[in-house]
Amino acid sequence: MIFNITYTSLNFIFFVLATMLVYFLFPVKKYRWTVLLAASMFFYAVAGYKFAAFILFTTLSTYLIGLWIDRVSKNSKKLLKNKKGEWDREQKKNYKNKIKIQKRLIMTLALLLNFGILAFLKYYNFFAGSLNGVLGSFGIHFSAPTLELFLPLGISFYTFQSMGYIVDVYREKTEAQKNPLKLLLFVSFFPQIVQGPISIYDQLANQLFEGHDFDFTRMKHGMELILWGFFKKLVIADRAVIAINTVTASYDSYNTFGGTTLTFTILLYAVQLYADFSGGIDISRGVAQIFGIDMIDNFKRPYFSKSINEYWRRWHISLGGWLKNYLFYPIAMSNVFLNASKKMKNTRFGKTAAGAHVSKVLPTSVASLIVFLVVGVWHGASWKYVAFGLWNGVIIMLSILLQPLFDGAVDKLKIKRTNPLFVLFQMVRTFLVVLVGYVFDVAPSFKQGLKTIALFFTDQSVSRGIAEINTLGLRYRDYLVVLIGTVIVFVASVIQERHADTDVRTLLDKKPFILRFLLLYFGLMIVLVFGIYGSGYNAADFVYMQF
Amino acid sequence: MKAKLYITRTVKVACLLLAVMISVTFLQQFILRRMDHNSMRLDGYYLEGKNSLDVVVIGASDVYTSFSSCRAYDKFGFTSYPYATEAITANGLKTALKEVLRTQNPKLILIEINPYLYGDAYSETREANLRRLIDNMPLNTNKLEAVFGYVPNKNREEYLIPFLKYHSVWSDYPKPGRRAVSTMETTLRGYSYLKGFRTTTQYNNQPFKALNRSVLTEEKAYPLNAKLEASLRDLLDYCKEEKLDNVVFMRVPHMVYKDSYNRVRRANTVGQIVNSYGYDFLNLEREWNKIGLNFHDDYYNVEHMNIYGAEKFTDYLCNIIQNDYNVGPSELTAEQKEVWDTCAESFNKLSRYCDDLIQSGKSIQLEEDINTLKAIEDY
Repeated sequence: MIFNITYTSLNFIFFVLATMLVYFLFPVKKYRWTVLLAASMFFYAVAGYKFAAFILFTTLSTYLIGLWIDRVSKNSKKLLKNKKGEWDREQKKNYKNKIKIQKRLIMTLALLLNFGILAFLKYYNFFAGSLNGVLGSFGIHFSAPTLELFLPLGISFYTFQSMGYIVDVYREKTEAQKNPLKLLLFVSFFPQIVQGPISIYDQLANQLFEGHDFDFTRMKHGMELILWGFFKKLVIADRAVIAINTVTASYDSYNTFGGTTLTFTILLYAVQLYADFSGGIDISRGVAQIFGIDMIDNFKRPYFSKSINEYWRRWHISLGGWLKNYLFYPIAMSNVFLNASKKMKNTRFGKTAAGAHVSKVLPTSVASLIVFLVVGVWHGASWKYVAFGLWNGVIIMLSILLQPLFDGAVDKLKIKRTNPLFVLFQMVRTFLVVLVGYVFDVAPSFKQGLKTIALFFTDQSVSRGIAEINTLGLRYRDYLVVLIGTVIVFVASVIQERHADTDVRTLLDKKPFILRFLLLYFGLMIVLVFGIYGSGYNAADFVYMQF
Repeated sequence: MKAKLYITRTVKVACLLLAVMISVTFLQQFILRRMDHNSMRLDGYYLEGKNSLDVVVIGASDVYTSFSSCRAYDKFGFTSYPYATEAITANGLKTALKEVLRTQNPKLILIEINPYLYGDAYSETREANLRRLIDNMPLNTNKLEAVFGYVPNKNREEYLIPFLKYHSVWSDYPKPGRRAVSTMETTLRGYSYLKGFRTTTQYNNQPFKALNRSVLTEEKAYPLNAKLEASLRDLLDYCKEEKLDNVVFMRVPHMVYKDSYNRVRRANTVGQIVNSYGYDFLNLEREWNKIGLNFHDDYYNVEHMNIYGAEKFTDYLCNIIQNDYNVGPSELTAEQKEVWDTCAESFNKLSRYCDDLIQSGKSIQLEEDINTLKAIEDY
């Protein structure tokens, strides 16, 4: 990084303000998107200039292959039109199949190239290490070398986004972009490059290329969202992470903590992860909104979910959407799965009520398991992330398969599904399942993850826990700030949940000016005073060292 | 209609930004700041009326522990102030001089040369040394020059807006509360009582053997560290360029021992360089016996004088200022006189309080804060 331009830095604020100024003053409205492109290139150059070649390669390959697929589609349609009346149905079908295979091959080329780069950079060392381990356990002395690999800034996000575009072009849901610079902007748009959301071309592209005029309300709403994002990230997440990092500093240090501390750490992690990720997304969306661009909301109060299925529809929505569109449906609707389902239906088991249900939901449940395996691997190159994915996948698979059992039990117990206590029970149950998944995220290894779960039940000691929590690098006042911050986010989430169809900021607009003024004033002051930013002050640094 | 809407919105946004800026400025000045004797000393300096000081003494800790402006006024009638911070850097001396010239027009500016005497230039880039001076300067061109001139590249913006670094100080409260209240009180009062003086109430019990007798005849001159010499020459060039004829360099007496002896020889070199530019160098380290200093009774450690030493040294230095540089008693308005008389009285009370504490063996660091001011009330 040439200089610090992370989303929470002062430089980023100046950068956004400068981009705003140039964008809205740019005289030719039609070409305002070039300002966003220049800003995105500048941002990427500053934040990760060493890796610019990777994003340029992905853009170029996506651009060329998109055009190629588009040309094949158009030419084939032209030919079919010309051969109308000349070819019989069979000939047309054969030709269409041939074109489909051709397009699929071209698309596969793009997927292999780009996911290949991502997989190599992100997972090579993981696979090499695992391979060495497996071969070693069989007494085979082979050592695949491990490499010093680096991850270009935002590679997962821009690879998923550009490959989504390729699949959309393949499916003829969108036309290929003729202008490589416009495609480059779609791939590299600076508010989303670091942590998403992963946008769909049709949803984002036109907004990017359209020249937007300055709109005060939009700017105000954008700024409010940025402030809310800063609050979650700087006041809550970046404070909580200090304690979490102390616990997870090393394999050895992790082992020294008891069950109570680890339980506390997992709970803190749930708060930190949500505040950090959703806060970052709020900043990204707020910045985009100032430029007149509405990006997809990545989070919808996920901890209020009543099932793990629902949780994944509310958490990292853009990744979930991408996987649903481009992985889940192709698997669940594939001939292999549909045929297996049909075959099961025709067996003796398939004729029973349970069998009918299982054969009906089999493609969905197995596809879910595969998707969550991918989600796990997407999170990181380690077996613990595989376990994280599997845990979620298995729970979802079981919940789909056992749904009639649950429904029957609820009916038998005569529980009203709208009963607030039952809803609360569902939420708590889901949250606990989510927490178990987080254990694998936090623990340094898969084994440690299992051990941590065991410690939850066997090693609870309040006094030891309090003593250990005091050594995690945060003072009790910091914990209090995290707690109050979490309560504020919780209250805001309840309000959002109750007014799901109305934006809180729009609700706020209807309140008296003085209330809005005070809210914004205190919001700004809270972030400025209680935010974790800057180099930090340590009184010990100022001890006179001359003598 | 549209214009009215634009104006209303602009005013609303401006009000919000203004409210935040005022709040941050207030917090940065009085609450969320690294408050210590350095900040209180410089705050006190900037409260002095423009061009109201006859003498300013620039330097490090040996300045504000050995020279009392209040005593100087009490005994000799001229006004003065130590523009000094703990472990000030060589580059910092030039910044301090520029600040003095920006705010005052003194008859005499004394610069203590301690920062040039170290064997290496480590001190020059140590964040704490830089911050003790720069954090406590108001934002102006001298501050910008310092930040972009010699502050290391990292986190420069935090020197310009110290709030960025110190906003987390809220979690240290109530500990900094004593100094926060003192800072606010001093600001509201409009002047400081003790003019940045600081001391520790004890005798010097260091086991080192004093070599100050050898200093009297020491003629050897050791070379300075290249960076520090460059900094000294830069300051002298600046003095020449600005045609400053009221600047005098000096060396405060310390208890010299084996490990610090080289500084005596480097001080000789500084003297030669300073003289070569046509400026005076008062090597008072060679005059400790004329001052009447005793390295046990008049110091609290090898580098710093206690109240007894400070009184002797202040008197001696003021005699030189009066006799050799013709700085006579100030012409003050009745109001100014009243203020300075109060300050002199405060110092005399402090002196008696220190005497009591030293004699009863109670070692306390004393500076201008509410605790000290309360304690000396009855003296």
